[in-house]
Amino acid sequence: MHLKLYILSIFLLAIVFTNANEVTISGSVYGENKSSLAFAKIHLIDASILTTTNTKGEFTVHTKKGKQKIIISYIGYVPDTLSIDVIKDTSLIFFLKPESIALRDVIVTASRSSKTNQSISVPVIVVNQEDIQSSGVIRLNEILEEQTGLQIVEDHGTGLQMQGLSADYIEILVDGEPIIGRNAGTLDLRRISVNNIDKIEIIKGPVSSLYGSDALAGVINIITSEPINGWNAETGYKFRSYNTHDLNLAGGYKNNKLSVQSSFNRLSSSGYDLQPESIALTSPKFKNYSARINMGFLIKERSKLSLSSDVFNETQLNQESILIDSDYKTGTYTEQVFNTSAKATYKYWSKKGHQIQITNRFTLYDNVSEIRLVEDNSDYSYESFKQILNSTYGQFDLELKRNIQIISGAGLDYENVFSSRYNDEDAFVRGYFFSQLDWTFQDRLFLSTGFRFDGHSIYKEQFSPKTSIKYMPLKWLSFKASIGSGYKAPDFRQLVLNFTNPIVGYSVFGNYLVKESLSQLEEQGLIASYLIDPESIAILKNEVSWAFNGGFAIEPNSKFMVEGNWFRNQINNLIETSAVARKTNGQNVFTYFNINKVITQGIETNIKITPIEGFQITAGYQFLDTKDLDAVKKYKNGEIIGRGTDNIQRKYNLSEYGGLYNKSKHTANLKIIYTNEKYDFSISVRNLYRGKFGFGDINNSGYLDDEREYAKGYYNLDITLQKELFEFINILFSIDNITNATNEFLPSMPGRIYTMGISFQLNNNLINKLKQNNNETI
Amino acid sequence: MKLFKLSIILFSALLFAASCDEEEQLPDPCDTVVCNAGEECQNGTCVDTTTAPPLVTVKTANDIPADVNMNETKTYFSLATGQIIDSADISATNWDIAFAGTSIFLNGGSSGNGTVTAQVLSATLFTELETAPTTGYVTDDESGTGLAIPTGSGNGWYSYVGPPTHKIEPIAGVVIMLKIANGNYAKMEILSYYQGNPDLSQYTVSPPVEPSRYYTIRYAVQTDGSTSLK
Repeated sequence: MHLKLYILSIFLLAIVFTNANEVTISGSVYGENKSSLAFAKIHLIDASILTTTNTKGEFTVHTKKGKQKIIISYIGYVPDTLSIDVIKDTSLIFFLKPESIALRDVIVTASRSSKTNQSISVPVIVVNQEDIQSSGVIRLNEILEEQTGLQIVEDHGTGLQMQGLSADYIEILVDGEPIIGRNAGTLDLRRISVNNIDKIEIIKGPVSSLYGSDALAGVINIITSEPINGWNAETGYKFRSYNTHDLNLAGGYKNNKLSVQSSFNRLSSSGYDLQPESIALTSPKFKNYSARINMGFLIKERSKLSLSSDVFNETQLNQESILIDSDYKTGTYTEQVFNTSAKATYKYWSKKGHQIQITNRFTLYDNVSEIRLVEDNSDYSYESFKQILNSTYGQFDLELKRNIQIISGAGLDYENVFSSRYNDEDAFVRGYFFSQLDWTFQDRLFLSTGFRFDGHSIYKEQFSPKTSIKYMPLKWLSFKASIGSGYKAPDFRQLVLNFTNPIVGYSVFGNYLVKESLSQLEEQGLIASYLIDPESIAILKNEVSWAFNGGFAIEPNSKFMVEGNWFRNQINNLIETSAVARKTNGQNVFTYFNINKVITQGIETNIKITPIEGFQITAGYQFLDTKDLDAVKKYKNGEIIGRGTDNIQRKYNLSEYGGLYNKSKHTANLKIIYTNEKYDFSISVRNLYRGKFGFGDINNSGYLDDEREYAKGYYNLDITLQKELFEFINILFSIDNITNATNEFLPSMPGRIYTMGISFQLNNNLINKLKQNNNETI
Repeated sequence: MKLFKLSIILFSALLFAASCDEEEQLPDPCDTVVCNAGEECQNGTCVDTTTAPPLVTVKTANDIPADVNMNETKTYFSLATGQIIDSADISATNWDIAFAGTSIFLNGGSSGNGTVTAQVLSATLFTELETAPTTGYVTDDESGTGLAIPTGSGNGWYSYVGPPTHKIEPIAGVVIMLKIANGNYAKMEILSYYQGNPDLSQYTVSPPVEPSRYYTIRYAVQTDGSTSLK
């Protein structure tokens, strides 16, 4: 108190003695639900002064007497402008209105900092909570596959394909942090519940310039819900075919000093079987739990401490047929997955609008799978994989003038891996820094340019630049173009795998171990011959891409929008296995090499129409062309031989080449949503189409080039009905895959699925209504 | 405006980068060569065809059993006659190769008393293999190297697909070259390991219903001792 008085008196004296012409403008800025807006921008146009509010939403500026035009802005809110003649010290209060839902989109992924969607110069999709809710989905893969240009691919889990690139090239983030625990490159999207998600941001094209490895095809950032002022509580339950139960609980509280949001989810299913002739279920029986807590504390005037933690636990159960000495035996397969993380961020923002934040995050992934023989409960196989990642990083956002922002950061990752398939324990250290400049010119031209540099304890350092530009010649017309480099570092198995197949007897060694392992085998007399000189095996290089994106958007009004984007990715140094030596048992030793060059390119379009009030129709289409450049060369040279009709071998030519496996040339979606505000219900009909795609090498040519190697295309028609009761109860009924389409190459598509659900949402407004009488005044 | 122009330039550069350039095909050297009667152009030179070795006949042998009952019995086969030889009657000269499971044995070395040698050629098309190589032939277990046609997935003639289909598929581009018991050159392609030479592409989630251990092969023998396999 004394200190405050002391400061105040100094302050007053300073005014008196320095300049009698100076005045002080102070005030507060409030947003939705009378919440104070911290870090709102106050811009005094005539005096060229820029300042920001503190954690209580208060600001103070000193300026000269006279006319002042003041603009108050806060991302996600409509800016307020005030022109006043200031002749004495003045106190002001501003109430900002939130922008409409269509305009509300704030993108945080494209520059690791809050930006309006309008200023984003790279291709981006935002999936809002409303979109998720109206689809009646349970897991993340179900909502992502409804987006144009994203396909679900089953490969060691349910993964995603973006711009024709597989799951291992897509970074999946939760609140900006990577999820770990990939299996053969795929991060199983079924691990992630769609409950308690505020929105999903999808950036297409490489974002390695900000996120480093794995962001070669793009980034998906899942933003979890933040509490609104006051209390909130929610619970929901969904029941689905195959004895699937999804239970959700969430609650939070927020005031001007602190915020807490927590959630809990339980999901279980009995699995299903699409191939009754095999004893293994197509989708295993499973049960999982996930929980998350996010906390924020405003400390002092301009800083905030955020803490968050999550945990995931899953148990899977299945049966497997095992071939032992040409006898098939039944085994019980169990898999346990455990994943947890804890994060702390300290953030400080200055009066001028600069921001600094420091984060430390620890995350652990643990996976144990085993097969026991049913007949005697003996252990047939046991595998374990454990990964620990600790990330420490800092970020500094510099505001230069009103239209230039420079975002820079640096970090250190420490990673530890233990696996029954790897050599003991392996540790890696990665250091990086990045910087990005965002420049806006007259709200018409948006330029963003940046880079990231990654150094690693094992593989080579990597420089990833990116530049993107958006130009809006007219209010309703915009063009975007970007050029960037993405990369994917060799993964653990490519570096440290130490695996010998116990039945067949071949061996696979990671690049980091291969020389040592070969000389060990040679000492033991197990090498019959070398296929290449082991000394010639080079250190694995990163897979590196160059990507181009160019597109347009036409949006004359909120009822019509059409956009198109062309993309091309060229990836060099693709990592593949190849034999290095022959063992005395006749089997080979394999390791990883940088071999192929691959191109994926295509066009994507989206249309959104609101023909009459309440109806929203969206349609999307993607054309995709992929190819392996080495394959193209081989076809041209007539080197590709495969088994044709009656198993007689023949040459295959370039015109028969179908590109990469698992890529559909044509994919499309059509969604019609009808919302009736009067009776509080909605109907959503979604139809997805995925054209034929190659599933594997049937003719042994090594590439996709035979009609027998394609899986048929299919349609997937979903319908969801929703009704709201008493403002806080929501019931839904959903039928997915009405036509009962199945595809043996898509184990995640079991046929028709029914879902019923109910949820109770006590939002802040309802609580406020109840306790309106003792509402605090500000 | 400058930046707008720049972006247009950038955009057209991107489009240009997208259009891929086609490699030119080399012209056939025989396109410009005119040969006399009785001659034929081969790789740009005229070859006399009147004294050329006889053309080989491509034959197919269906469903040669290969230890079907899994009691380690071999099926002996003569490429020269296209006949299966009873195991009681085998000699140093009357059979060339023997089948048992995925292993193919030669009448020579550790497997027989004859002189049959062989080698596995890869990235070769049976019909385009017109001249037999003269070197590279080995017999079974010559200096401890195992069989001349190596066993094991991906090593010799087949690859094992693994679960759930457990298919055994002939490797595309593999042609087995042999110097058979009577000293003639022969080429052989294995079409199938399953009875009835089925199309295995129909089996993607479960093993083929056709019994395995039945070879279907096609082969051709040059009878005059020359290397021509046309």
